[in-house]
Amino acid sequence: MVQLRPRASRAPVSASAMVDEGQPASEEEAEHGLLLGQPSSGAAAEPLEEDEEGDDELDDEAPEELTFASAQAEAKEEERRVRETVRRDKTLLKEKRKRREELFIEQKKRKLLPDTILEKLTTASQTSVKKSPAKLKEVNLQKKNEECEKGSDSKKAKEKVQKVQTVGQNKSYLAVRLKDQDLRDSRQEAAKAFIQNCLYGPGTNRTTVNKFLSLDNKRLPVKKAAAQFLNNAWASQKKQNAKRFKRRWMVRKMKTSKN
Amino acid sequence: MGEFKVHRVRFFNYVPSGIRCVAYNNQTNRLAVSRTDGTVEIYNLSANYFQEKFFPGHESRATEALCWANGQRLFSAGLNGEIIEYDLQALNIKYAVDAFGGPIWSMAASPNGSQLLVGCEDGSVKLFQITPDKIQFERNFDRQKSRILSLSWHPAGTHIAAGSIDYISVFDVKSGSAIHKMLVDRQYMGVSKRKCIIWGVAFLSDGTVISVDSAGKVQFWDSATGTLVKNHLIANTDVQSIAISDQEDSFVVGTAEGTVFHFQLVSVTSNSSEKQWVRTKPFQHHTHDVRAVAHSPIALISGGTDTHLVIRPLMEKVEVKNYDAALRKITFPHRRLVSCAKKKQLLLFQFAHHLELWRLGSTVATGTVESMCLLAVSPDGNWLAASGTSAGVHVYNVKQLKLHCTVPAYNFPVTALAIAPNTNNLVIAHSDQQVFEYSIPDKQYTQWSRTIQKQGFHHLWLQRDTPITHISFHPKRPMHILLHDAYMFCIIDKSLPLPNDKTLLYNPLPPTNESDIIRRRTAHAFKISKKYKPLLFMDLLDERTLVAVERPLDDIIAQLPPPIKKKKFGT
Repeated sequence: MVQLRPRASRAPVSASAMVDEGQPASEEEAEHGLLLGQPSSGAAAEPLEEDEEGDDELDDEAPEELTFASAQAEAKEEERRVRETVRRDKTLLKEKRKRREELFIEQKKRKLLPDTILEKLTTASQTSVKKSPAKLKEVNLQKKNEECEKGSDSKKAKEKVQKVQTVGQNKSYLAVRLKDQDLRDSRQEAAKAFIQNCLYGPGTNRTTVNKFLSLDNKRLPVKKAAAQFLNNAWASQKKQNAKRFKRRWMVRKMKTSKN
Repeated sequence: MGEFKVHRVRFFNYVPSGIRCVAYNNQTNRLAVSRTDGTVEIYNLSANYFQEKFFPGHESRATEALCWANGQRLFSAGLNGEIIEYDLQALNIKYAVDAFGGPIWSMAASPNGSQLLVGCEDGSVKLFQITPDKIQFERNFDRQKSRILSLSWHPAGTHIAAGSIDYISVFDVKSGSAIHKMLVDRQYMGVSKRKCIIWGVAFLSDGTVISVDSAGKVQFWDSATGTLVKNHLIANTDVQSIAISDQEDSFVVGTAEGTVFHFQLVSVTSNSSEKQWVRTKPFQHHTHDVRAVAHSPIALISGGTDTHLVIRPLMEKVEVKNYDAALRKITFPHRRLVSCAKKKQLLLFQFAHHLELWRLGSTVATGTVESMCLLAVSPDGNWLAASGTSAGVHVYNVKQLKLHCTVPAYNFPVTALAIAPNTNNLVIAHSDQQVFEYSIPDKQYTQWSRTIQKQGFHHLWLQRDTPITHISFHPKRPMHILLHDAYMFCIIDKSLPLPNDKTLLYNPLPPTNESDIIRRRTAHAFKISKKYKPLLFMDLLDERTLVAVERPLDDIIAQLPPPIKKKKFGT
C-alpha cells in the first residue's frame, strides 16, 4: 500500500512527528528528505536540520520506497496548481488593463472639445468665407459656455489642436503644435551642452581669467598682486542680512526715541 | 584752446562678444565675421580694414558656420537648424531655410559656387542647390553615426571630407556614398577617455586631407587609400580651426591657447623638387581660444573668444613694405556707441539689446531697443546729412523735406559725420583718415578743406589704425573741430597753419614752457592729446567741460570666458 506522503509544507515540520511514527515515519522521512533534496525555498531548509537528527536514529533502516505513480500524481497536481495560478493572474491583469484603458478613453474624451464644436469647425472651414465669421461667433459663444462649465479643459484643447486651417477672413493666427517646438529646442539644448562640455567641461585644462592675467605679475622681479585682487562678491548674503538688520534697528530706534 | 574740466567716464560696461567664424571673400577682398551673439560684421580689407556693414544679431541665430558663395552671397548656419542668407544691399536677412537635420554644425560652398553642403547634428550631410534667389534641397549623403563638425570640398568638387567625432569620412559627391572612414587616435600615441573631436578638415587638390582635432594634432591623410601620412603634434590642447590659401602652399591653424601656427610647403633641400609641409611660424596674439582663421593672399586672419580680430600680413607676400604690412588688431567697434545730450548732461549707451541712459554726476535709468545708422543733424535743425552703403553723403533739407545736395563720392567709406553749429559746414571723416569739410549753404568744399587736401595730411596722421568715430564742435569757437578715435583726441584749429611732414605732429609739451618765438614756429593746427585711452567717446559738454568715455582693455578681458591654463615655471 502506498502511503500518500504529505506535501512539503513551508512551515517546518516538528522532529517529533517524524520520530514517533517509526517504520512508516521512516518512509515519510525519506520522501521528505527526497523532496527536500530538491532546491526549494529557504523556509523548507529548517526541516532539513531536524531531519538530520532523526536520521541518526534511523539510518540503519532501508530507504523509503517511492513508486512512480505517486510521483507522477504529485507532479500532475503541481502542474495543475501552477496553471491555475497563472490563469488567475492573467485574468486579473487583463481586467486591470481593461479598466485602465477605459479610464484613458474617458480622460481623452474629456480633454478634447465636445463633438459638436469639432463638427462646427470642420463645416466652417468648408463653407464659404461669408458664412464662416457668423459660425465662428456661434462657436465662440458655445465655447464660452463650455469654458464656464469645464474650466481649464478648453485651454488644454487649444494646445492640442493640430494645424487647423485658418478659419475666417482674418488670417491673423495660426495654430501650431507645441510638441514640435519642444523637440527642436531640446535638440538645440543638447547641442549647446555638447559644445560646452567639449570646450569647458571636465578634462579640459581651463583656468580663471584672474589667474591667467596674474601669471605675469607673479614672475616680475618685484612680485605684484593678482590682477583682480579684491573679491567684492564675498559674503553677499551676510551683507544683505546686515543691511536689513540695520534698517530695522534704525526704525526701532526711531520709535523708541519718539516715545 | 583753453583749459577744460573733464568728466572721465569708465562705467560703460561694454563687453564685445567673442568671434565664432571668419570667412574671407577673395573676389571682393572682404571679410565676414560672425560673433557668438549672432551679429555678423563685414570688413572691407582694402579700405583700411574698416567695418562697413553690420547685421545685428540675436541669441537664437547664433552661427556655427559662415561662408561666401560665388563671391556675392553670404550664408550662415547655426544651432537652430536654419540656413540664413544675408542681403548685403538692404542690410537685412533675405530668408532662412530649415535644413531639417537638427542643429547645423558646419557648412561649405562648392568651389564653383553652385552647391552648398551642410553637416548636421544627426550625422547627415545635406546638399543644397544654390539658385539665383534661394537655395533648394537636393539630396542627402550617407548618414553617419555622429555629428558632422567640419566639412571641406575637394577643389575639383568631386569629393568631400567630413570630420566627425573620432573619425573622418570621405564622400564621393556624385553617388553620395562614403568611400573611406579614417579613424583618428584619441591621443598622440596614447589612450584617452575624452573623445577626439575633429574641429577642422581641409581638402587639397592632390587628394591630401588635413585634419585638426581636439588632441592637438595636425594630421595629413591620403584620401585615395584612406591612410595616415603624417602626424604633427603641435599643442597640448585643441586645435580648433584651419584655413588654406588658394595656392595651397600654406595654411594656418589656430589653437585653444591662443597660438596661431603657420604651415608652409617647402622643398626638402634647396635644389630638390620634393616638398614637404613644415610648421614655420607661431604667433601669440590672442589670450583665449582661436576659433576661426582665414587665409587671404597676403595675410593671416584670426579671431576667437577674446574678441580681437587680428590680421597679420605675411612679409614674404606683401609687395610694398610700408605701414600697411604691420599687424592690425581690431578690438573696439568702428561705430559710435555713445551719444551725449549736452544741455541735459545725459549720456546714452548703446548695448546689443538695450540702451542705458546716465546722467553725468548722478546715476541710473534704462530704456528700450533700437538700431543704428550714420546720420548727422545740424544744430539749428535745418539740415540732415546721411551716409549709407551707396557712395556719397546726401544732405537733406528738413524744412522742405527734399534732397539738397550730395557730396561727391569718395572711394573709402565714411566713418563719422557732423554739422557745425553756425557755419553749417559738414565735416566728414573717412576710413583712410581723410577729413573733408563741405559747406552746405554754398554746396562746395570750403577753402580750408581744399588747402589741406592740396597739402595732404601729416604721414603720422594717415598711419593711425583706428577710424575717427566722432566729430564735434565748440559753440563759441567756429574755427575748432574736435574729433577722436580709439587712442587719441584732437582739436583742429583752422586758424593756425597746417603741419607739413617735417613738423612734429604730436606736441606733448604744454605751450607755457617754451618761448614765444618757438611756440609760434611749431604751432600748427592739429593739437593732439593721447591722455585718455582707449577712448570710446569724447565730446564737448559745454564751454568748459569735456566728457571722455574710456573702456580699459583689462575690464573687457575680466569678463571673458575662462582660457586654457598655462603652466609657467616658478608660479
